[in-house]
Amino acid sequence: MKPGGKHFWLLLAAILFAVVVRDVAQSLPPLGHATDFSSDFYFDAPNDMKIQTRLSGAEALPLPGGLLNVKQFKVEMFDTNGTMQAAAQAPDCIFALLEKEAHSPGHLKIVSGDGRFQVEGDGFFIKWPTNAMSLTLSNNVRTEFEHELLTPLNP
Amino acid sequence: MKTILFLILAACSGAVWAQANLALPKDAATAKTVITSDSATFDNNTQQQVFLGNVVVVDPRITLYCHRLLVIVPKKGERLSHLTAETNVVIDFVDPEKHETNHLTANIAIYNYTVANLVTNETITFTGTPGHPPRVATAQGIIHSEPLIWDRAANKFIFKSYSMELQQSITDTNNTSPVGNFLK
Repeated sequence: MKPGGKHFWLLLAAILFAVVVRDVAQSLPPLGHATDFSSDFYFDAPNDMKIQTRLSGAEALPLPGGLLNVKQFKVEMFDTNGTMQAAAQAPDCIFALLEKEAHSPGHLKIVSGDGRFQVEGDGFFIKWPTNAMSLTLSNNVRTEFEHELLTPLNP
Repeated sequence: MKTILFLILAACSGAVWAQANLALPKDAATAKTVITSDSATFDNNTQQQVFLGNVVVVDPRITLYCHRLLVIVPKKGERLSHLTAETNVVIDFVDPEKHETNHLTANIAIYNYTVANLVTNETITFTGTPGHPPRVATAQGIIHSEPLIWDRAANKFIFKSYSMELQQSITDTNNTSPVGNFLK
């Protein structure tokens, strides 16, 4: 991942996370219990032997109302050459699968694969209705990118 | 799912394309910007990112404080072109020529970047509230102006309906439309 499009990466990271959340909704048993789970998702052919997304968690607990509580949730997304594009981590996350929402009062951190961009905060809410996604971080938000905010003035 | 992945790939392509068309700072390898805020929202439907509450932006040349910072995410192949900082806006920036730190306050700051007929327009327009116009303090003095425009492409300030406080305590008021050269 090269520098550039700095603000765009904020959104991209959110997209990556939201996509993974969608995968979780498709892959985790909504009524089951799982511990130390890890699921790999592969690219389509001809790269169908290469991992595109890896989801992992320490524990998945079903909750009333179709909710799913995942502990130590982690998402890693890779390029076809095996390079990590982005990773997101949350020690605690509750998924409302039917509503296509995820939230937690806990911490969320998203880091680009090269470490040049990251955003983190405490308390988050993700919603991914059809063709739209949004991420809200409610407290102590810190965003870092290895660029200047605006183009520098020429001396 | 494939649609979403396509969007991601398109996003990646856009970022790389934008990079190829950006003039990187000389110290790009060490340039770093940190934005802290109470909360933030990233919405790909409205293409907006909003940082809210005690927003502080620190980069190598500018420190920005405000209550609310709105970023319009550029479309594919385009660069960052619009920012709006609102409420108690404070900017400390370094004059690249004189290496002096200048202090600017306003109620609203709007950054716009456009290119028309091969001409780049890059401005930050500052506006105040009644009785409290934008204010820039430099080593030469203090100027109040409503509005106050920072023409970043030309690297100069444009003052309208301004008053000036020089270091020698000379006050000049009720002038219109001068072009400041604090940065030149």
